[in-house]
Amino acid sequence: MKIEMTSTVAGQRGTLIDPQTLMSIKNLELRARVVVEGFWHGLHRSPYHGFSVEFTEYRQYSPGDDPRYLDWRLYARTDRYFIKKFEDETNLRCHLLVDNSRSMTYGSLSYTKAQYANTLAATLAYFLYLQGDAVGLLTFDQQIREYLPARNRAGHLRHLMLRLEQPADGTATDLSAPLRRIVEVVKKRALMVLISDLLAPIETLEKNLGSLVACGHEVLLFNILDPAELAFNFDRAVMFHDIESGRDLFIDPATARRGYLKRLDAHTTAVRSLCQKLGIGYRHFAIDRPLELALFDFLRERMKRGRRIVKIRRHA
Amino acid sequence: MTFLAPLFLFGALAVALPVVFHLIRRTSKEKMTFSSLMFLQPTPPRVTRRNRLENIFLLFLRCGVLCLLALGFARPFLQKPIVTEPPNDRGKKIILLVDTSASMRRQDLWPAALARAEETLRKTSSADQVAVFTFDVHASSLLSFEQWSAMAAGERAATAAKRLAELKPGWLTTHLGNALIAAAETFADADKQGQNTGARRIVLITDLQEGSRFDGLQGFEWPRGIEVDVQRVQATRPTNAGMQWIVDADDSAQPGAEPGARVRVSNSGDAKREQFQLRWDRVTGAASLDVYVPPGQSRIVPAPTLPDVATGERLLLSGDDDDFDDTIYRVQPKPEQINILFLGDDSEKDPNQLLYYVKRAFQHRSRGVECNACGGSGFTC
Repeated sequence: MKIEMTSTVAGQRGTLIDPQTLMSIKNLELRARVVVEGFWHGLHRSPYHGFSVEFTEYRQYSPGDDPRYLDWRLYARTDRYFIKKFEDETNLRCHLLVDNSRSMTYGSLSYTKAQYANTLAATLAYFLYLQGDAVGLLTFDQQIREYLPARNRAGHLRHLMLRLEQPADGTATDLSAPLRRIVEVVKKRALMVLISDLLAPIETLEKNLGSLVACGHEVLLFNILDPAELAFNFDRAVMFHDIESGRDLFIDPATARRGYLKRLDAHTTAVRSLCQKLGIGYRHFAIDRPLELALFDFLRERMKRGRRIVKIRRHA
Repeated sequence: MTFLAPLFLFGALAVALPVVFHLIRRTSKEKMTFSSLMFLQPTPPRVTRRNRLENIFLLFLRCGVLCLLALGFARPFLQKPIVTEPPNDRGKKIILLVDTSASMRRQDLWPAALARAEETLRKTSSADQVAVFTFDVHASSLLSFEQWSAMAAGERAATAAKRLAELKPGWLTTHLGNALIAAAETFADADKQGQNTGARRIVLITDLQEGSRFDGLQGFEWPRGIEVDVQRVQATRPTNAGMQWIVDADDSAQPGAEPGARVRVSNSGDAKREQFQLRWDRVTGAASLDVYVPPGQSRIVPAPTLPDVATGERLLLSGDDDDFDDTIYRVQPKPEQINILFLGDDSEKDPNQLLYYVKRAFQHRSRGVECNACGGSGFTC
């Protein structure tokens, strides 16, 4: 399955929409619709079994099985106990956690990281909404700015798009407060998609992401950065102004580039290893990457997790 | 041009600093906004390889300011030809003011003062005129200018020193203002008599004890040209506490009684000790009293109690470095005795006569009144 989808996407790469072109569309919902059109068939099939309509198989009863799943009609016919298994199409609850800190307003291209993150969130929301899944939104900087509970009713997507279109005017990035809040608010297991540049110390990240995972939430992390942040290919020594802290620093890129890239790489590696440790899907890319690929990453992470759960169930 | 502090001229070398700063590649005024500086370290500015200096005018201004500062600190001045006065062969006039107040009795202050005075006298030349004054509350002349001039040149200093050595400090307080005024007026009198010899100097040898009253000088216009050379003698052991008997009006009204007798203990400002003891001298069974007095302060404490039968004569203060002001001699006041002589033939037992009432009015002996009656006829008592 993985090979099929990869080849599909690779085949479509030539027809992918350039983000610069996409961002020229003013309407956020329209942008999301354009991206999602190619992925309409990505319906989620839940690996969770339960009472539902779609029957999968029979299995002979063994002591310890839940007697609620016994097929009594078959017992009446055959005088044997069989357990009836179903495949259930559940409605996914997804929460989009979008970083609105001031560092997200940086962009060396014609658009900023915040615009890209909002478009990605809108794309995911639109995609999930069309599938009938409930989508919620939480924007944050040092604290929570906006919160929309996960719903799938008429008009909810419109509300969500309006909230996403609001400019990012926050201050510093701090994931602690929003993640604590989401743990408190969202009691049912859900999918958490975190979109951030993660330009913050990661000391508290393990604890907060760990608490999300511990609550049974599935977490997917999109770490987006500007191409200039990834390459640091400036040519002139100038005074660099930190958007978040307001600090000024004289930087000669020729001298500072090596150390910058080393520290950035160490930071990214630390976040990646943390996500691997906690079982969190992690994607790290620049904002000049087509959004279809980001959506594909999202689906691939979902499928990967789905297969893993099915495997665990079957082994059980 | 000459400089008072020419070493400050080396400060002009600091002009190298603005030159170096102007050679350093200037930080661009342009600001580049970046998402976060958390992965960046500040880069030290590099020196440009171009030999071209930027902002030459500003550089000149900075160098100029530094040069002017160095020049100002070096204190330049122009030498002017000094108008030399005709040589004055009359020498200086010096008044030696030596403190003989009670505070000079402390420790070795008086020998030190004498040594200073002898040194001053020894330094005088034969053309100088010296007068020696001692002072406590009042200034008194020990040796006048006329007496000095009358003596042979070789004997003057020795005679003045000898007269000083014969003196000892008294028990009076210091009134420094009066002494200085007296010395200045002595100069003024000498000027009136046409004995102006040019430079006039007062050499003041004193311990500058606190309370050396200067207030007299406030209303005195100090004559021009009189220089005062203060030579202070100081005690080697500074802790000196003193005490003072406090007498209430009520105590004086009751002769012989000592209820609530109190003592004020004061400590010198530069004292090293704060704990003192009060005790009656030569009184058996009398306990001593510890007194805590911080430097420069005073405390009023009740006098140590005496046994009922004892009478204290001397109250001693101990614990300080100096015996000065450490003893109070206490004399019990004797009740005043008044004798009343009644002249007349009145009977003291007859209530219709005056003597009867006079006797009763003064019958209490505690009041110290003795009334005696004499017959009026012969005036024989």
